Amino acid sequence: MHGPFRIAVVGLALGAIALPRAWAAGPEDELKKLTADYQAAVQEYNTARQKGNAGRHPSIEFLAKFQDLAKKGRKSEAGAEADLWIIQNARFAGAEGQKALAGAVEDAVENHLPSPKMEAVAGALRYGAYSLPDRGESALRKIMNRSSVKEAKAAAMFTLATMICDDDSSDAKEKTEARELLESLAKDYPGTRYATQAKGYLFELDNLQIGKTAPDFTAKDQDDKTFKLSDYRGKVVVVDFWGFW
Amino acid sequence: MLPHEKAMVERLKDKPFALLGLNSDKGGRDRLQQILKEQAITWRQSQDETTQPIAKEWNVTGWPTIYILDAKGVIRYKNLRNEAMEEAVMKLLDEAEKGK
Repeated sequence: MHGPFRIAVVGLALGAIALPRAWAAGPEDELKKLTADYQAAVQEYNTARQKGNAGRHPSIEFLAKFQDLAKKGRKSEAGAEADLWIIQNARFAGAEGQKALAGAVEDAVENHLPSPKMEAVAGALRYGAYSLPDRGESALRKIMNRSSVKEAKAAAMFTLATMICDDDSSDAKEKTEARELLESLAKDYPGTRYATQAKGYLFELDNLQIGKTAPDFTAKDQDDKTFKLSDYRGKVVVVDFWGFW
Repeated sequence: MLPHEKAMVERLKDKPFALLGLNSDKGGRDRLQQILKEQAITWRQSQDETTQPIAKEWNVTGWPTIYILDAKGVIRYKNLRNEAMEEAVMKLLDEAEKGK
């Protein structure tokens, strides 16, 4: 009986040390550590890439960790933030990332709808949601209709409207809704970046659609000569906003 | 994009056609002059200044953003590149020719 008893005591002692530590590391702490670890891994990856010998992007490895945290943090802001991380970083993680993205979007609206993090979620969906079957539309509508956080609501309205505007295949009905959302942003959210950007999109909807006469502009060319777009009536014109970067 | 644009400008040099570049690179007019020289770009260009007033007014959020206008100044196509761009321009040139 000596042997097993001693093992049990050792086990208990180890447990006594390990247990409080595990408790202390709540989802918030875990999030902090995970985020820091990820940043370090990305830095390492970028350095390796510059030398031409990078392996897989670290987001692939971290995906499961953030998913795990999202699951553990269903009742905390850390969980919302883990979902946000997945939504923002899924595009670096290939097919796995796309699968995780769908899950994170669903989890975010299911469990964290009242969170202020939904503003960033709605913003991230603008660029991140193209692989979702509905481009994130149902999630955006949930945030728009049910969040009581003003900024989250505005972000969802803005993403939804701009997704419609940026998609050349959007139909007239969708464009009408986009216009209404943008008008509401411009009117009801004065002074916010959403209002400013909404006005830009409204200008585009009003003046820059196929079939509209292009608005005139005056510019100075490479020889310091001033010219107007309207100087070119009678010519077919390609206006090319470009950057060489 | 650039090689095709160059070839296209050369092919259409006797037609009523113009390619107007609004450059959004940082670094102002000096940087633009440098790029034009290095890349041997000959068509009319404007550095849309650092505040990009035209790009902003036209709500440009991605580059390149391309508008193709007919001879009356009406927007007819958006964001076509390379062969598709040239095809659209040829169609509009044809249309302008017939409309005379």
